[in-house]
Amino acid sequence: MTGFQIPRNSLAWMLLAQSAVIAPHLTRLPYWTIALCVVCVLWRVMVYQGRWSYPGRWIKVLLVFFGIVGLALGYGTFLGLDPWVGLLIMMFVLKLLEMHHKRDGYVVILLGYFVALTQFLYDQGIPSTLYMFLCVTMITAALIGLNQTRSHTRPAQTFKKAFVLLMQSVPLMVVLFVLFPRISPLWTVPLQTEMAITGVTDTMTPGNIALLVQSDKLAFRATFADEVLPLSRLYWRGLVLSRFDGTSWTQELQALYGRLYRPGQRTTSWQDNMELLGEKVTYSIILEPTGQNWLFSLTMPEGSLKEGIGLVRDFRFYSLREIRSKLHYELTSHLNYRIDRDLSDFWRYRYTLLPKDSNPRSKRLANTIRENSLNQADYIRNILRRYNLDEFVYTLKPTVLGDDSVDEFLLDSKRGFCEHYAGSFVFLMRAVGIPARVVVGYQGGEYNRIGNYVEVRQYDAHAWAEIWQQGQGWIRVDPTSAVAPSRIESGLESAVEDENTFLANLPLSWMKYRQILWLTEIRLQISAISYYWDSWVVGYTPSVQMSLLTRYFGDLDRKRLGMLMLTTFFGLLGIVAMFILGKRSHKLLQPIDREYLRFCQLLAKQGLPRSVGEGPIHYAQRIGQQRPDLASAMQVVTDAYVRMNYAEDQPEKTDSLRSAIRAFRFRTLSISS
Amino acid sequence: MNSSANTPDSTVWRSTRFRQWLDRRMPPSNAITLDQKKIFILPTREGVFFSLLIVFMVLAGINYQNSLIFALAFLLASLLMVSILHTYRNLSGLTILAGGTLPAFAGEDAEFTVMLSRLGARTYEALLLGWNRDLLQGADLLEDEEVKIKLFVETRVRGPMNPGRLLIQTNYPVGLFRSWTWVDLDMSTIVYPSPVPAGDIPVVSASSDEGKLLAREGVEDFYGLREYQQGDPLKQVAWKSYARTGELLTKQFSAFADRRIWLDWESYPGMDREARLSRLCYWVLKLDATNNEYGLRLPGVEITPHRGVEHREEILKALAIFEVEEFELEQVS
Amino acid sequence: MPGPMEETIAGVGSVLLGKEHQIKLALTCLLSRGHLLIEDLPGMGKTTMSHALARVLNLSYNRIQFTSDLLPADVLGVSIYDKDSGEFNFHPGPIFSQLVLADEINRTTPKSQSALLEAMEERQVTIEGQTRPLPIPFFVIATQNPNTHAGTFPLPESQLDRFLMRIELGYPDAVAERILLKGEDRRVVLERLEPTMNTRQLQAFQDEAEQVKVSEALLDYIQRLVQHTRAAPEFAYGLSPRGALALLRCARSWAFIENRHHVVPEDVQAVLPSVVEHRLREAADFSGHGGSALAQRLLTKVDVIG
Repeated sequence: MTGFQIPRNSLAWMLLAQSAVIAPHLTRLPYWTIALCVVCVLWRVMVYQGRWSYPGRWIKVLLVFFGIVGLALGYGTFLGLDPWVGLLIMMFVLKLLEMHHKRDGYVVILLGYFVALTQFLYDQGIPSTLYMFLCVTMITAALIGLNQTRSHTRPAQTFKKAFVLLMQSVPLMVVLFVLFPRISPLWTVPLQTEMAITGVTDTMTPGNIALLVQSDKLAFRATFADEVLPLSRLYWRGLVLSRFDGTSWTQELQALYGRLYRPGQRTTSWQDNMELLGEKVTYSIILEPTGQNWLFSLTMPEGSLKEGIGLVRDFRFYSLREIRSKLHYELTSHLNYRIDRDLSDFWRYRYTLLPKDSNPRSKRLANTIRENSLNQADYIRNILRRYNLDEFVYTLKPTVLGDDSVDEFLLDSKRGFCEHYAGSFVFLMRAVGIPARVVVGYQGGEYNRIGNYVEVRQYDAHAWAEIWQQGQGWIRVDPTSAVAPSRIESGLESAVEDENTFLANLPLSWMKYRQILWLTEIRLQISAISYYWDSWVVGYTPSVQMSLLTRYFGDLDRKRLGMLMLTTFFGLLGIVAMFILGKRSHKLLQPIDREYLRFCQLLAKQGLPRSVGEGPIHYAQRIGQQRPDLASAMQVVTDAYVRMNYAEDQPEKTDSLRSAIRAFRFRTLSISS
Repeated sequence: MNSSANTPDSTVWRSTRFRQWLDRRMPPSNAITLDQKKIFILPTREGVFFSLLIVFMVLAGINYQNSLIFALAFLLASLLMVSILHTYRNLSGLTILAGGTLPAFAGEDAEFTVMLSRLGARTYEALLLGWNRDLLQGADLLEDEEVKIKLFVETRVRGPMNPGRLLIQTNYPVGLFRSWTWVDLDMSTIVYPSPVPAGDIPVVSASSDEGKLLAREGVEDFYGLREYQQGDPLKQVAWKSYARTGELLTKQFSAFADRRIWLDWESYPGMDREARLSRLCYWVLKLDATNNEYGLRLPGVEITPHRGVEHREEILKALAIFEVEEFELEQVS
Repeated sequence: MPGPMEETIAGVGSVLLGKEHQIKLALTCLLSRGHLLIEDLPGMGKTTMSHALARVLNLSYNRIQFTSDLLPADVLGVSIYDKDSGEFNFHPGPIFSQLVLADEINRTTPKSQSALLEAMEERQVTIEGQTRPLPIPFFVIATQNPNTHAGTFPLPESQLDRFLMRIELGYPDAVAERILLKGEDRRVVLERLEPTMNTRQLQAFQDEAEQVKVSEALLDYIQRLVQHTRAAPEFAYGLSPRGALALLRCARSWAFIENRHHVVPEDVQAVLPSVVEHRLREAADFSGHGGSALAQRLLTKVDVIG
């Protein structure tokens, strides 16, 4: 127990940085751990003030014990990311009570950097990043404070120094960021234990999409390689729900779907079921984390994505791992297509399957209409016309439905949201033997012309239907367009304009003020910035890196990339070094002095240096004695310098000196030649 | 009697080859301005740990495919590199000037003054310097253009002392790198023998006429009483005491008869050289404190009695370098 | 056609051989209206130089030999009771002349020294409550033997400041010495010296010397020099503002003697040792290395440009 005392300067920044770094984690930490943090910080402050001493060994053991028990109770497990982050934070604060040596200070600081890192596992947004930069600056200030002499007690100066150091590091960081060869994960790592599931889910019960669209959270952004399609054509398929239990629609059993399809892999039988009929569109999507497995795409996507993501039987992408962080993917979709031209009896059976006893009235209704229709097409038309005319209301406040939800909706309440229409439509199709399924995803979006992308938010969530026709395959039918065409044309807000329910729970949402132009402008700006951030910083994945670098440097293998990185890095480091080391250690010289000193250097190169303290006249005399050949030219230069600098007192006028030096140079040249 | 025994951190000088190399690279000088030829820089232990931290962070970035973790790792890696420049900068351009030295008595700390000086706008912070790696003294050059620093070096044996190369190092700003240099400021001082109290003042061999100098019986300072002996001057009889007690006592006065005392090597026969020098040294200090005139006789050395600071220094120096080998003396001069 | 300055230097130089630099310094000091201290061993020509200066500049000249029994009144003068008039008549002391040679000033008591120094500073003498101005111009050349000589009262440092310059004459070189040995008696030469200017001219020159131009660059240089003495640890204390002003004043006069209308760094360097050396002291703990004088080190450490 030496008397080492962390410098005040360093301790102050350490405590501040610690609080700042832990703050974003507070909501995720168990109360126990938070209490422990507070105790440790206060204790450390008391130690600093000399009121308390460091805790004894047993108290420390006790604190560790409580900390671990607290974590265990709080998380219930030590698997996953959160408990480990909690453990790290706990070590970080407990170390405060054990700073007997300078190296303990270093341990706290290194832990601090690591805790700062964990924040990025939870949030990679711009505000979070800026905040963490602040935290890192504070930690660095603590590090600098640790190395300053004890007499140095100006925390603001220390912080400034840290900031300067980091700002000088930023250009180098950018080089490394862009050029450091990115590789795929080396092993699996624990992820967040709990991840809130957002967006559409794989169960569609009447009312749950209506609930989802109360949110203005971002679902994803899509950038089109060429022109943006009109919003009404943007049907972002996410899920295909084909099992109905009378109330809810769910996905087909996984077992029946078979494996994922990836190009080059010929083990599945359905991959040739898509016929491409021309028009295609290329686009990329940055998907916000959903905690679920499905990806969104326009009909019908082809091609491949990264490892662990592939097409499933109904032509949409599925990720084997849940999407816990932003996912950037590029793909091509065919707008004209024909899938499943033939449907096997088995699948025909699956897609027409309805629970036996549910919704009897609807089944009867279907049969009645079918009997009154000429053919299948006419039947479908009749159904849609019915939605359109028969006083159906498109509303965000549908009536709560009971067990036979389709019956109640179609025949009694007639008030519903897209899932009601899609669900009941598929029901009516299946009731007369037309294979049909519900598709859930998003429809439309908002075009951001600043960033040239389409932004899709939760309130764009939508459900529609696909029916199978012999010879045509699966066809999209959106019954919502029959009841509320404006939903498809211009989005939800105008579709529910009359009842004023758009984002009713979010009075302050930006999205509610779209009619205020300047506000919209700002919102689009911010959104665009965050889009670029997501696509170029957060979404800077190995593939993005490769495509970017090949665009500028041609084909790069990892070795050449490494070389490129090192040369650029050290080149830039050289520039930074010049900036840091080249700062003139003298005060600014007058122009005439600069000229004259340059002249002296010229002579010094010829072995005739001016010594320190030697005045110009003496120098000229000495040179004149040593080199009579230079005497007269030297005299001219010296006269010019002395006249301007000492007689005329005009050190900013260098013309006469310059011309004298030029003459001198000429003379020395002609002598040497 | 070897001056290198006075070099504090002899472990550093294990390798003579390194020493020779240093001597060529940085010849001894009273004023040294540090440039890249003279500054060494290497990561500290903390710097190594910091690098490991960065490696961990990059691994985390790879495994979580998290760009911002990469960014943080790269920021810290860049900080590490930039800190090399800053740590180097924190020595480069610094001028170190040799200042004065104060002699010491063997076993005490000798004082060496060095001055750090900066040019213009560049500032220096958290510099550490000293001859002993474990006992470095901190210094800042922020507002001041020059600072004087007094450094103390432990001495062990008398004689001329050259503390060797001075270590100047800094970890500033982030402690991840250490830049340092060893400069030989060509400073030396003299270490006097450590004074050892010696009972009686060494009276004097009779080799010289002016030698008989301390007389117990003087006239000036009253010293004590003793029994009257035949022949004592009546003037000195303590009549008052006689009147009171009836006992005949003589007042004793002491004085240094002409106050010119010779401190003589021969006063301590049988002792070894160092013991003698230590005792002589003790008396030098004693006599100087009482403002006496004293001289010194060593084999082959004779300094005539005198008083004053300069005289004392001269005598102490003679004691210090007595029978120290020639080449070492040259080093000092 | 040599100007009066050249003539003056040549005139004194004919008596004091091979000492042109010292003569110029003395003249600089005089032009700057300052007093001069010459420190040297006896017999080096201190007296000769001052006498010669007085002659060529046409100044009234008095020599005061300072001895240990010299009283202030012997310097300043006394009031003596005149029986005839029944009044006290003031008899001015030797100080009442334009050029006073105060010989071996360190031989006298501090009391007499300070009488002289006060008069030098104030250019007037106050005796028995009455203030009497000293003649104009008034110029004191004091000489002193190096302090190591016995029986002296060295001038305290604070008093040394009263002298604008301190110079040493030094031994003559071989050529000069040979001429001295072979040639005629210098005293005879001295008697033959003709004045080169009158008092009014001298005063005009003094005024003109003050007008010599000083550029910003030169002031920078002087400030750097002064700053160095204050910052560098080898100096026990830095140069005072008065010292800095003295340096500037002397540099101007030197430039004037050199026939220049502006000051260049070489002027500063020429006068610097004489101006600053008696105002500075080496720090105690910095003695013992580097043989060159303090001022020389100052000159080689502070650059002219920068």
